[in-house]
Amino acid sequence: MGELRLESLALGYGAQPVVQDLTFSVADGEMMALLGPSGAGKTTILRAVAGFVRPRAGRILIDGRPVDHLPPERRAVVMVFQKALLFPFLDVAANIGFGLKMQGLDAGAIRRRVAAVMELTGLAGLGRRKVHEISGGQQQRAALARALVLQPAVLLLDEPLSSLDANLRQQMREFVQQIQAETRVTTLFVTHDQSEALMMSHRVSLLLDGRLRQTGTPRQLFYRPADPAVARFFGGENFFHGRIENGRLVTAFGSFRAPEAPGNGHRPLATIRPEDVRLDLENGDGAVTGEVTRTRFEGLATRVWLRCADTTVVALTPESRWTVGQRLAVVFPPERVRIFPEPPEKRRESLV
Amino acid sequence: MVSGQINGRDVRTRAVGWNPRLAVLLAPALAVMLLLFGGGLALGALQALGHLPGAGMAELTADHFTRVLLDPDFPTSLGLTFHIALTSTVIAAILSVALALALTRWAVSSRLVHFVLQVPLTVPHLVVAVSMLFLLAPAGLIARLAAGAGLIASPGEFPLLVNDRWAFGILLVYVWKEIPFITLMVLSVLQNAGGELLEVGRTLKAGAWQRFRFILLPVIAPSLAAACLIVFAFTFGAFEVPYLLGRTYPMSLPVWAYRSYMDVDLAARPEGIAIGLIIALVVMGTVALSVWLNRLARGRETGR
Ligand SMILES: Nc1ncnc2c1ncn2[C@@H]1O[C@H](COP(=O)(O)OP(=O)(O)OP(=O)(O)O)[C@@H](O)[C@H]1O
Ligand SMILES: [Mg+2]
Repeated sequence: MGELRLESLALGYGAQPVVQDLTFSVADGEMMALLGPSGAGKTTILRAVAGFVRPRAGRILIDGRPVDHLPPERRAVVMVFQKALLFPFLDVAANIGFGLKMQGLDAGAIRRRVAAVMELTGLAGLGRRKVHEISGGQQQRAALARALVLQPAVLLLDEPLSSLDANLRQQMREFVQQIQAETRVTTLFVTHDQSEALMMSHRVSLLLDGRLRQTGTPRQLFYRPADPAVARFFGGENFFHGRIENGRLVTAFGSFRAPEAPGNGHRPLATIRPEDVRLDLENGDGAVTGEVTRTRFEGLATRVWLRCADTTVVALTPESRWTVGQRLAVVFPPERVRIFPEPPEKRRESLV
Repeated sequence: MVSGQINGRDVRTRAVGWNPRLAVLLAPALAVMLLLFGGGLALGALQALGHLPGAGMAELTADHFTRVLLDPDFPTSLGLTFHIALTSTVIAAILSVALALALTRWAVSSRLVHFVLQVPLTVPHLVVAVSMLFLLAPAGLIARLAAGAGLIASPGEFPLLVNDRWAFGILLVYVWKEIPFITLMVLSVLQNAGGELLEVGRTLKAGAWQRFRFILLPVIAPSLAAACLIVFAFTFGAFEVPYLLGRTYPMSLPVWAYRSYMDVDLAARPEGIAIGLIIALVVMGTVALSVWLNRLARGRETGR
């Protein structure tokens, strides 16, 4: 068992608040990514769950029982840090068996469980090596194995892959995901990399400016962002005000069908992801048109900036044939247009 | 091999293989060292073997060594010297580890710590010994204060702490002098790596004692051992503190060596040097022994 619940948690250092009113749960066996930009307070949250940081307010519960009064060594939680932090004076097997030895298990039992977890983490045969005699990826796996062998109710991972190079990182993502699926250990996984969060976890919690902005499945966060800030974090660039008229969103540069539109007269904010904007040669059928002002080749796609009336629209297309100065038809597929629930008036202005 | 912690990484300076360029670069320094150190040692050995033409002695003989080694006072002096060096090193080591832990725990600003610890480091042993004499002697400051406060009837009742049987005054000087040195050595390791590894220990469910025994001790062991060896070697061979604060009999080996060397009788001089060489041999033997023990312990840690 291992259900983690944070309730109205407030964290900070000295006079400086870091996180406020944080509430979310990680279900038993779930892998949740805690996503946020650098400095958002992700590590601080993990350290609070692990017991290294005392909350200013709120509660932390594991399987429904508050753990706030317990020191780190008495919580059913194990944290894996950003650096592997293996003990340099122990060999790999002794590192992995460290926690079991502290629990007073006999040598035979330790050896068996260490061997099993080393098999699971692909470290079989490396047990006698010194810590500096294995690669960076293997060190990270040893750090993970050292935590897994204790079979914690909740596993906390603080960007354990961020020190690895891109290729290895990709491998390790799949590896961690696979291990989590096999062991079904409840995992809270910190990252500042949105694609890492989206591809690895069952659900994602996005932390911005010290507040939890949205919790949901990767698709929900990506396609149904709760507010413009969330959309922006996931690469949203096109935001425009409009007026709803008969199921259409009327904007300064044209109007288009908006299926989820609220009633007439509303003036909502809408967005569409750059890769959902379709470009075509102008054919004079009255669609929205724009002039290409800039293009940037990005490998898999080309980013195109267009001037539509007074608004800039950004499109990300697989085609690289568009050139500056061209006039193009700009198509917003209605099902891809996201109309935000109307935010408070003052906030709308500051966000656009 | 020296090993330690830099930013949480295990840093090891491996024994460097034979490298002609390195040899050329090191040659001048090595030559000076060999000449000063080896030359001095050789000259000393020659004198200890009785080659003292100025005193009309030219024949080489091991007599001076045997005379020292067979002297009925030799075992007592050796024992006393070991007692002084070992006891002061062990006490200083224990107190230093405790102090270093407390300083890291309370997060005392390291600049302040370094400043405070550097004060005792800069005071010469001789000065400390003299002040101890003033403080602890039967008619010294503390005795008078204690008598004045009515704790003891007269300064004469004050326990004998200098020139005493257990070398208390000598130990006190050495402990006071060596604590800052060992503490600074241990602190530098702790500040580099100790904290993070201790957090790892906590999240892996190690209790306070377990964290000390299985994380802190192994982390500081290499530098603690090195510092202790240096302190031991120094206290084993230093003469001025036991000379001032020790009893006239038995003498520690360095005092004996000094006395013999300065004796008006030139014939005693080779004996003094012989004792000096014996001291050097004992220190080298201790270093070799501790290196061997360290290997053994290391093998046990990893090769179970
Ligand atoms: N020990 C500390 N004392 C004071 N302030 C701290 C401390 N640790 C972190 N902070 C501050 O708290 C805020 C959140 O830090 P935290 O390390 O939790 O961010 P993070 O989301 O993990 O960032 P990153 O992705 O860069 O690791 C930052 O503004 C940071 O400067
Ligand atoms: Mg962090």
